[in-house]
Amino acid sequence: MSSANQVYDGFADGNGPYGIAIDTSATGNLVTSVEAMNNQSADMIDLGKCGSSAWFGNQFANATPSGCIN
Amino acid sequence: MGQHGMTVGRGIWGKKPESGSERGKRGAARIRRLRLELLLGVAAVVMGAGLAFAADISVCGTTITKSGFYRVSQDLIATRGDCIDVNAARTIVFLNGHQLSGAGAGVGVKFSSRAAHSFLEGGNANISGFAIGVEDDAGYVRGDNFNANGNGIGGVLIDRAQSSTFSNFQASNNGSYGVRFMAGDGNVAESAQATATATTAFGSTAPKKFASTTSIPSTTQLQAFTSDARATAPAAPAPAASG
Repeated sequence: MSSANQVYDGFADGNGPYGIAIDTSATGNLVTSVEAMNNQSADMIDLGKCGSSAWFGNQFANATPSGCIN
Repeated sequence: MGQHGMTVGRGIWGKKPESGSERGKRGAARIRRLRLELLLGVAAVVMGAGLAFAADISVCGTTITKSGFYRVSQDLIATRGDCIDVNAARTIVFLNGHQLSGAGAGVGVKFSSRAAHSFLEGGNANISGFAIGVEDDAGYVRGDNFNANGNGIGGVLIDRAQSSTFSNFQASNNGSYGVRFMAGDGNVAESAQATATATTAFGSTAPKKFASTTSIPSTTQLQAFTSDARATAPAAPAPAASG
């Protein structure tokens, strides 16, 4: 299981389906201070349980699920 | 020049890496802090390893099997397979700002499971044309100041490793992903740019056997970048570097 990884202070713009993606079984990850814009399907997506990874201080146009990603 | 494209040398640091201001809006203070941390990390590696060996790398197809300091002395072109394989712990690889070009397969710089606590300093080097730009299978690896752009599958792959940190790098225009954490823990991507990849800029995934189920709408996409199409395996151990 992939967990407790961190992505911060980065850019993830103009990619295929996703800017940043966290898989269903990946937990405890931290994504902060990342700009993800103009990605095809979603700028940020978290397929894990809402709250199992931390998303805050990011800039994006759309995220899935929107309530869990900030 | 030594055997297999390596030259033992004394002037091991070469030119300085680029300054922080050349990296966009990441902030000079952050870059200075990173540099200090990295220098301290290098010092720890050097002192911890005793660093009895230093060599230049002048050809792709080099396998490092002895801890030490290795500096790329010129632009390198791989006709097949990997360019630099690191198979020894506490190894420092300095790309010295050079271009590493692949032929569509292999890995630009690969840290095998034996290469824990190693360090990659790019000096703003470019790694392109490989299947994967930089791969870390080791853990506790530090990588800084490189560009892994235009690789067939991905820019940076951290595969079943833990506590590695990659900072101040670009991973753009790669085939499937920019940066992928696969089945590892406690890894960090800091001050990274990953744009214009076919699938995902940054991905944190489980190994394929734990891949998402069919109940998740995006399963197909995630499985696509979870699958592992790497073309290379770690080379057999050897008493010294081979090219």
